[in-house]
Amino acid sequence: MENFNHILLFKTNLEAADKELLRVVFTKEGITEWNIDLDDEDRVLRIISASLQHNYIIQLIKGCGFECCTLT
Amino acid sequence: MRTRDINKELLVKQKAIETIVKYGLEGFTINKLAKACGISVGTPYVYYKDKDDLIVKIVMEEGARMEEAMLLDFDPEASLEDGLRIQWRNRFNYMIENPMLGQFFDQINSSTYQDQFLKMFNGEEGNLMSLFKKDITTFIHNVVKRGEMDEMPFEVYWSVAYSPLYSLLRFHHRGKSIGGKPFQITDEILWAAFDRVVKALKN
Repeated sequence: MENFNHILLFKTNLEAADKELLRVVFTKEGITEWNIDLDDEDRVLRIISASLQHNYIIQLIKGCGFECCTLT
Repeated sequence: MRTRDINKELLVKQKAIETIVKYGLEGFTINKLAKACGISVGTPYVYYKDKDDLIVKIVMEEGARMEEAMLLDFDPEASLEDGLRIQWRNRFNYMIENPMLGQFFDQINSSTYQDQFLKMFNGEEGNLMSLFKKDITTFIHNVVKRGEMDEMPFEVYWSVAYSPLYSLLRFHHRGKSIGGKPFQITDEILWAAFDRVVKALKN
């Protein structure tokens, strides 16, 4: 059972084609469990990480040129 | 601190089923689901990774629940009439208690998810409905071996055995039968139809 406190959720503008880039970036950061709900209008990025904080991920994604904010 | 809130999880699942039945699978999104539940968009993502994950998990959970309901008191060694009677009772109870789920599974079966679930429903041990499939196959094999019923293609058996039940349930859920005549199912009607079905199948 995954720890609910380790689930980080973000509203983004990511597309299917961006997955390759993200895979490279996330692997470097040690993030192995992540997915994007491309069916949803908020393009929700879901990350499971015990150590990383929301702000860190937001800066990471924005640094790649995408929009990203915490999903409320 | 996030905690697992069983009530919220159930609400999300219930509303997902309702929304899919009402508006179909194609336009369904987690955003719309969250709005329908009156919860924040992030909440369903605590329980499900994405739309596909939600649909697969609901089908697996509800499939297991349906399997359990259908096998209640069912003995694969029973006579044709007794075994079929239990099947009718279980299916009737399940459909009356879960009117949405029949329609939900219909939606899934006519969607792009169908192939995915057909693979899961292949009867291999531990897979979706595998126990149910095994018991029903044994039951049919037994009644044929004892000469209670002729051997026939499974589809013929299924159509004769259950179509009348599902037609009556459809009338009941609509509240109308053929030509818009008001209709409500009763025990008397249910078991009268059952008796005709047994006569049709039994040697």
